[in-house]
Amino acid sequence: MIHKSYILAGLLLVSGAALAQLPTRPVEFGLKGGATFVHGYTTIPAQPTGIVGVQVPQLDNKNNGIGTGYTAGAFVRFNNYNRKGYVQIELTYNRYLLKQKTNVTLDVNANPALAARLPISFAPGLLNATVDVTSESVIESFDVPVLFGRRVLHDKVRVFMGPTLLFVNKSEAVRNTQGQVNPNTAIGFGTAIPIPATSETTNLLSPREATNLQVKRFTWALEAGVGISPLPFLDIDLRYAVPAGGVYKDTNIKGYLGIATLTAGIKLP
Amino acid sequence: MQSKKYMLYRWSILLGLLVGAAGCYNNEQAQRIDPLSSGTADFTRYVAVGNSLTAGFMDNGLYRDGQLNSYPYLLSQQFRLVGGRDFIQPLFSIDQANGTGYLKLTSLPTATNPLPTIVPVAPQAVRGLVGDRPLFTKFNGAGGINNLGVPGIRMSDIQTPGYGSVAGNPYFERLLPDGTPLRTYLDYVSDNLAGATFFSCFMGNNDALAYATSGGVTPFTPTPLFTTNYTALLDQLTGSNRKGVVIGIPNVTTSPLFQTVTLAQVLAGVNAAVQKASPGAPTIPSLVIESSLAAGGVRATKAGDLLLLSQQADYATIGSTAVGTKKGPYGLSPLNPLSTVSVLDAEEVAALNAKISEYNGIMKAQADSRALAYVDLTTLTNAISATGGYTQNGLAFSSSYISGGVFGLDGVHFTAAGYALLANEILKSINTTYKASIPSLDPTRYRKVLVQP
Repeated sequence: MIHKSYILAGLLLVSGAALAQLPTRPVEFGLKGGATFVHGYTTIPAQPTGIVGVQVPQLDNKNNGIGTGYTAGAFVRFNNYNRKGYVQIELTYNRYLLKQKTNVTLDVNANPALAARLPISFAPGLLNATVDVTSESVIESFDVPVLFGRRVLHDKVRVFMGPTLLFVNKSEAVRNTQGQVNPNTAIGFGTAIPIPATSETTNLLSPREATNLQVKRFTWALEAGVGISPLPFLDIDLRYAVPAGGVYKDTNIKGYLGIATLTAGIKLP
Repeated sequence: MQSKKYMLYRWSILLGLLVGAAGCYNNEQAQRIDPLSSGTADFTRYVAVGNSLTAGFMDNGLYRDGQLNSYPYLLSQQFRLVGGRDFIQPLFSIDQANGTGYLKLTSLPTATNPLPTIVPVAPQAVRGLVGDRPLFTKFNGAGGINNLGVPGIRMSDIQTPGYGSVAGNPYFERLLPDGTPLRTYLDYVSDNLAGATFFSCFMGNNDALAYATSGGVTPFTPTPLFTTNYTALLDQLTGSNRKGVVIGIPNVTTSPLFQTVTLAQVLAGVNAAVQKASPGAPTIPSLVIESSLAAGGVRATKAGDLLLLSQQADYATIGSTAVGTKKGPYGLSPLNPLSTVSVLDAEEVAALNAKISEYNGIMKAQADSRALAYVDLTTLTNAISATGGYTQNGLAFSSSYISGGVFGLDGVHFTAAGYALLANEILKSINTTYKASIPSLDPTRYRKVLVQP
């Protein structure tokens, strides 16, 4: 009964094409899609500004929940080298979302947008602000994973790993900032001024906008995963990748970034 | 055979994705087409003629930071986007950055001191004294100067030999080459016009301002002299069909110099002191001022009389019998009226505004007849004087003293942000007249009144 419904579903999905035979065909093709899940933290070292005596202090961007994105693309699998082993190459378009938060106290001059909103200017060292920033950073990229896999547990499970090339197509950060300008009674600035919540979108590929947070156009990741095929034409893959090649151009930015991916793939006949 | 066909088909999916990606890059680049244009003008070498506002005078002094934020310098940075070249300013050196000295704000009003703390910064560029008047470090402008602004210069001064001598205007004296003290300002302009392709001319303010700041004592420049000299200056500037922009005189009485200290405030202070000394004494409704236009030369204050920020020390002595004529309480008795220099009476305000309109009419007519751009600053001064101010990029600029962001500590010269607002008005006029497309500045990014240690 179960077997029968498999066949029925298979017939519908592959529109009458021949069913996959066993053993596996030498070359398989398919389309795949699914969801990406990103988490990570970033430590951005203190940065000088254009103003003498003013720097942006070290920023500790903490993880703020898992960011969900998508992946879609096509794969080709070469099985003809070894009965258990295979090589799989993919081309996918991916959206990764990283959610972070940070709390920082800094000189008002270290944040030009904040200084611009004040009706009076203050020399460095006289006035600081405490701000909470939450950010949602997006990378959209064309990825080319090159995965070396092996079938285990009586061919029921695939395990694989390999490098992934990332060609970044779009990257931007939406930052929500709020906080307060702290009082300094010595200069007659007696009461704190709340900084209303503002949202700012930065293109992380533009050197001018992103400054030290500029994202690389090209990087690479190491990826490993397991897959099962509950149906002969259906692949369910769970993967985890770390961008070992780094995301930011500035190599002084440290941290950790992990990308989990859950996809379903359908082999074309 | 079959499988090969499929292979081609499937690879084409991958190729399709790649082509799509390439398409994205192309679109992004297409948006970066340069929209800037100099229109029918040529900004290769820009020369600025004018007074203190042109020189970058700020906070009652000429100093390096003010010079670096002068509106001609800000304009030259925008002109660079459309072919403008180097812009040489007679900057004070870094070692003498405090220049002629200026005022600085060290604290806003505090719980114990209701007034802002403003202290003088000592000059660093004084090379000697003539009598008690300073001479400033000379600037070697052998290579040609682009910013020809001279603080204090009036239209009536531009053809006066000796105006740049040690006995003349020290700001002009520092710019003239050694051994040429008799060069007039008009000569100096001519000396620096070689190769100039564009000019700005912001003159005439001092011909009216001196009357205003002296409470109506210093006379206006006579209109015929104003016209003669203005014609001579524009003849010089528009030689070789040079294009340029002429800037009209703004309404000076809307500045904090005349709007910060009000009659109501001073009267409230006087009445509080009177009540303290003799409780129950009748309220004093007005001050008594010296006014040449009133019958007998003395009258009570009325709406429209303006007090000056620079005369606060004088107002503090109101009621004293030890100052003025000493024949009664100062500023309260007809026998001891408040000095004429301490008040710009309503009649003087009217005379001042009429004269500014007259000067502006002369300048606009000349600009129009020579097809030059003309900047009417009424729009800007009205905007910053209006309730709620003039909002730019989220910040409301106003003519309020210190907190308004536009005027510096002397209450009449601009802050860097104020000069950026001025530059934007000039750019608008240039863009319209010469069909140019030069981007404006973000004034919020320039410094306002600075609190500093």
